Amino acid sequence: MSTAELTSSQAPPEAAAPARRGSKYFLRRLAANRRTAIAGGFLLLVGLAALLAPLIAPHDYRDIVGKPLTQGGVLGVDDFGRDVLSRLLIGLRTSLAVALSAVVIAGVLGTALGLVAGYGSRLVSGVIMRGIDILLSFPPIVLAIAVVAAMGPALINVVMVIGVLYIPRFTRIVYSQVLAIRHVEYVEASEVMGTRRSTILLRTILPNVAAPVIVQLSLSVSFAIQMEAGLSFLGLGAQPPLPSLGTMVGAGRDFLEVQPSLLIYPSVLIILLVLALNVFGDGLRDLLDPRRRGTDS
Amino acid sequence: MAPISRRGLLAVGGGALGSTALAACGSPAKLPDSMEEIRTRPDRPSRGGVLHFGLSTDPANLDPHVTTGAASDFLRQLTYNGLLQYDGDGEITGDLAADYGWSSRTTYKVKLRPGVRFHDGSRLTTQDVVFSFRRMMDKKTAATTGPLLDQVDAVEAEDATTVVFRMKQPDTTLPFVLAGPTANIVSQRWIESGVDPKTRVMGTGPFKFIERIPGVSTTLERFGDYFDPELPYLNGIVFQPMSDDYARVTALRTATVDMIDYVPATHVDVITKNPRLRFASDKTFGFGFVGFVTSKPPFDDVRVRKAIALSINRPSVLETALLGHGRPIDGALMSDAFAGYPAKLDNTLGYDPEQARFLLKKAGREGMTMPVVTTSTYSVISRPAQAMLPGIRAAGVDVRLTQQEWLTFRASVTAKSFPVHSWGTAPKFGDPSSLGDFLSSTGTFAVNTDFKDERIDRLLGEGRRARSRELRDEIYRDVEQRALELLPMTWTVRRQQGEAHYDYVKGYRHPPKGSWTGTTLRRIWMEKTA
Repeated sequence: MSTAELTSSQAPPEAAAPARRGSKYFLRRLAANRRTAIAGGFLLLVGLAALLAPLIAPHDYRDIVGKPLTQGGVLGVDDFGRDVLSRLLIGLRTSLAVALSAVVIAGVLGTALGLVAGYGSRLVSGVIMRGIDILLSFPPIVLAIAVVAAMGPALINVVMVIGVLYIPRFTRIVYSQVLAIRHVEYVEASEVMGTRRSTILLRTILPNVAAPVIVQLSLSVSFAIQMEAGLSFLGLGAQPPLPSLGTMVGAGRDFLEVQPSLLIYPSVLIILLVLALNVFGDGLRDLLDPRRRGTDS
Repeated sequence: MAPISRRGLLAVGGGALGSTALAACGSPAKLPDSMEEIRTRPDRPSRGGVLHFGLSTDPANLDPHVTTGAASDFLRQLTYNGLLQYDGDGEITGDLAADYGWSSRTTYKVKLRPGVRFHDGSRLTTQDVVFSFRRMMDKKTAATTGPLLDQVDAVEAEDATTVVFRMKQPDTTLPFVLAGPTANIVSQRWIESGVDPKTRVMGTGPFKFIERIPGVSTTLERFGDYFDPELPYLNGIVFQPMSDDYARVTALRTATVDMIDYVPATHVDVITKNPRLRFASDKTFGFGFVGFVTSKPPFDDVRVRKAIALSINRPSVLETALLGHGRPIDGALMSDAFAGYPAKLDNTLGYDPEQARFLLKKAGREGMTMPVVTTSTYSVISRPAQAMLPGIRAAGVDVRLTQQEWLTFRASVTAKSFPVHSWGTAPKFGDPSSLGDFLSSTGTFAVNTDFKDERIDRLLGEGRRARSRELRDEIYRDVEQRALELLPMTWTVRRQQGEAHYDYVKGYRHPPKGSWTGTTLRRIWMEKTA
């Protein structure tokens, strides 16, 4: 039986449909949901600000530009006399870079492990999934603090730790999806045709489990931002003078009564970022979920 | 009435148990509630009450002869006594010594107070004093005071009440050493019983050690047989470790504790503006410095060290890191509280990034990268380290700051893993001879820089032997000047350091003139109305 002879019921399901229908269709549907559109617009704005931070920041984030704890500049001056707006932009860049890098690591490794576990033998599946269970049994923030404290405070360590800790999120999702589709006709058809297993995994199965992974990516970024902020707040993340949103919250805490804005600005930015990522993730899920197709406005 | 279901009973029971457990967690002290009662006495200090003290570190090592920091020295000086002590004015006075002084140029005699008892009821003897100093001088003890006793030839009991220190050569620093917070007298019998003095405490001090719960509290109770029948006024003191600056200050402001140590510079204004709080401090004690490993390039070149010293904008560091609470040190390290302070050395190291660039160019080190290590544990150390970065960058140096946890930092500095370290500390005692710690070839801090200068070693030796005040002033001025020429370390700022307490805590004085002591805590009382 050739691929051309497959009936419509045997064809890969609609999960990959948006990609087939083109990005314009995808964006039009995304924009149709007002909440998702606003969140997406905010994230785009924030992403651009982070990307262009060194160019648009009014000052070098390390320079002393005024008397400490005064209102000079757009958002004031911090306890070391540095421009708060410049540090907020660089801090945003740092936090997003750490969160995105960590989630990419988690996404790639987690998805790969999930694919192998779901499509491999029972032994391979058992070893991988029990390893994932062990990783899941530790409270993430406690494990992150312990590991980063042992490895030494550095951003690269934070990226690696968050990346590894978030692997189970992706592995479990992909594993369950692979189990659901590994025996459907189009997969079996590929097997019968003698297609290599790695090709089946990458070309046939992966595109059909991609939708929940994409949603998980957006949601995990928000969790990663929170975890990075937590670790940096404790002094285990970005090292001075490089700011991150977490270190700015930690430093601002000491001046809550003198200059509360030092605490409020980075805190509000973290809240808005996490909120926007969650709303956007929800919108993506609705869009990519074939069962909810047509129910969104 | 509705019958009590099993689920309801479990919920109520579980809640009650949980509440009890929480309540137990919140009251670490084992002192009975009745001890909190304060009895006022007209025209005299009130008696009673338990002082709750928020301490910046949890003292893990309680050995009476090994310091682990100023915070843990508080505990030592409340539970042990030395022969001498610093009083509230920073002057040396007798502690266990009723009488003391030089009987010749190389003999120092101490006559003990009568009727002094240890907490186990045994009497203090001269043998205990001799044993204590032999323990301090034993290298195995690694006593803080040990190296400072290097000129002591022998400690002997002359009779039942007199102890004699026989010196190898004259040493004017001996009284300062005897008054230090770790020159404590222990019971020979107690130590030889095999007890671990790091975890147990048994001295002659005004308070007895009750218990230490790691990370939670250390509890002391009034010693009824203290040799001064008037003291102590308090029934007990509960030290609660609060290493986080913000948490410690908040605990004070919310009256969770009555007193705290190490008020961070960032909270001094908040404390001083509160009408119910008192801040006892001085600017002669703690200071920051940058140390260079002088045995390796590029800091084996004095021009490079001087360039870094000139590129530190000390007034800016003071203004930003300590919010102005302190003084810049651009000359001598010795505090200007001393009569012999060499004021003519002031402004030797004013901020001059252009000169720094010139020196770096001459040394062939333009645009060099400079890794610096500091600790993230104490803001009084980490903030000045951060604040000096813009100045050094202005001199064209790419400075890379690494912050490490305290013990890791100490290990890095000792191992010389970084060519430069930014630290903060205090002299061991309030005399210029304590410069030796930083500048002599065997000094505790100097060894981290591999610094050795024969002239400074010779001058420091002469300073210890000199008895004339004028001669001592001249010698230490020369030491300071030589240090500013060779710069194994460069001093940055002298910080305002102090303790804060409620206005009902009376009698506490922060020791002046860099003479660190916690002995004024022995004499405090509370006038607190319920």
